[in-house]
Amino acid sequence: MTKDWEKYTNLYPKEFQHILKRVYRATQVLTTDAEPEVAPTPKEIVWTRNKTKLYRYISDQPKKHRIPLLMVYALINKPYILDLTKGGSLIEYLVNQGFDVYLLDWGTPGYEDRNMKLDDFIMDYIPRAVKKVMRKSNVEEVSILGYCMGGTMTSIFAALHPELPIRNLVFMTTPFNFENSGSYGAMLNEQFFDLDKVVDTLGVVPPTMIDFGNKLIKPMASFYGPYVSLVDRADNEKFVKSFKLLQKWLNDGIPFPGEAYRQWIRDFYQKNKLIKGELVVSGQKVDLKNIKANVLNLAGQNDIIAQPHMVEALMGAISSQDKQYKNLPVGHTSITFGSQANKITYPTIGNWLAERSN
Amino acid sequence: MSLETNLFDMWKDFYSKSTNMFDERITENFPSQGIAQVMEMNLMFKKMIDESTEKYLELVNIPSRNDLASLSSMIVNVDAKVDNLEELLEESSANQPHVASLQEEMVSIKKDIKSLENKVNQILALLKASEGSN
Repeated sequence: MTKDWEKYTNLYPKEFQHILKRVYRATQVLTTDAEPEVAPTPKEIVWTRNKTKLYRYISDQPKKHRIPLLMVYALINKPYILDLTKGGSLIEYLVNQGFDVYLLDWGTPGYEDRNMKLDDFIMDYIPRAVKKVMRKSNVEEVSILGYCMGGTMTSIFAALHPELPIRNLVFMTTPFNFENSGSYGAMLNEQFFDLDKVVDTLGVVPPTMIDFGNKLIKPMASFYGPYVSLVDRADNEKFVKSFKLLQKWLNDGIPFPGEAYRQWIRDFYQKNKLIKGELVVSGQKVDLKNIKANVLNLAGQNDIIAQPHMVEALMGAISSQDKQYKNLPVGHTSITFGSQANKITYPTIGNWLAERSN
Repeated sequence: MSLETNLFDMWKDFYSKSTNMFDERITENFPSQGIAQVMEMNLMFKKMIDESTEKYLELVNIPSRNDLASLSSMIVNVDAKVDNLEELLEESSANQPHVASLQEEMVSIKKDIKSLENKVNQILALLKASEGSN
């Protein structure tokens, strides 16, 4: 705290000095503090194509589990939420548990990628990544974890590739049934939302537009809530660290390739084709019944993006014998980062996979 | 209870209640039509700017975003082709052990045939010898 500010603060009654100190610290956090470092777990690139990268996490810990785990992320925001900071990273946890972990990072699409469709990601990129993982780890089977939209893409991939040896599938806050999607449904109502105009005009949908849409679901809580909490708890360095990490991730979005966006909104949010069995990808009808792998499907009780009923719908649509649905006391982001994630999510995934990865 | 607790907590309590009320109201009656209209206006403006910029850049012989994107697409396509080739190479090298085992099998078959040939020769020699003695 500068001397001038300290002098100024001391003019006030003691009861107010605490508030002023918090306001000062909050201002520092928002203006002069350095951005936090993210993605601390060491990794190597094992494959690239266009902007996509496949990472393998390196560890001196012995591998305890034979079957490697491939994480598939969404086309919204960056995947380092899965490896945000030391002690707050799902990837670090799984690596320390002896898993051979890979991450499929879609990179940052450019305007030249505006014609990329979900078909490209699901039928070209994911199968290639799965083969790379099996070859690199020298195994015949693989586990896949899909987060949010990455899970939806993973389920389509698994349904369209029953010939590929997928042992386990973990879905984290993944929407499958888009009926009653709350404010999202209202916002994307085809009666008002001119999807074709959006895609044709913008080419790639900018991250600010997607972020704005997400914030409109709970505008006051999303636009102002974090800053009120920051002023309220600026004297708690642990909170400040989490705030900085989450804000960095939230404001670090990526553009959404236009054609993929058109499909995602029309076929999923507006027409709900996946769960109805009407979705066609690369000329093939997607039948979730083709999924026979072991499935762990995790929802968040406080998730307003992939609400529990949207997640649970998968359970009746697949043929897997070994399938579990868990509704955890977390939200869409706190399922991967925060004290609840450390206490609940990480062990839930780690233990479930450990029993099925040898 | 301190003065700080009174004032700040009172404000926070008011803020939190009013926030919840506002957010609930938005959830119940989402202003889809209004938001769509604002969005459409922005898109119209963006389209107008894009089109005039494109025309201007063409006039002054400067490549536009579309031109650069076309070039990038070509690079991306080449990248995809290289990746496909890499995949083919990897697959064929992964099949190499099969070729080696096939070769081993061929060698052992050759050996078996050779020993069979020897045995047949021995039988023939014995048969000839027995014919000669008769």
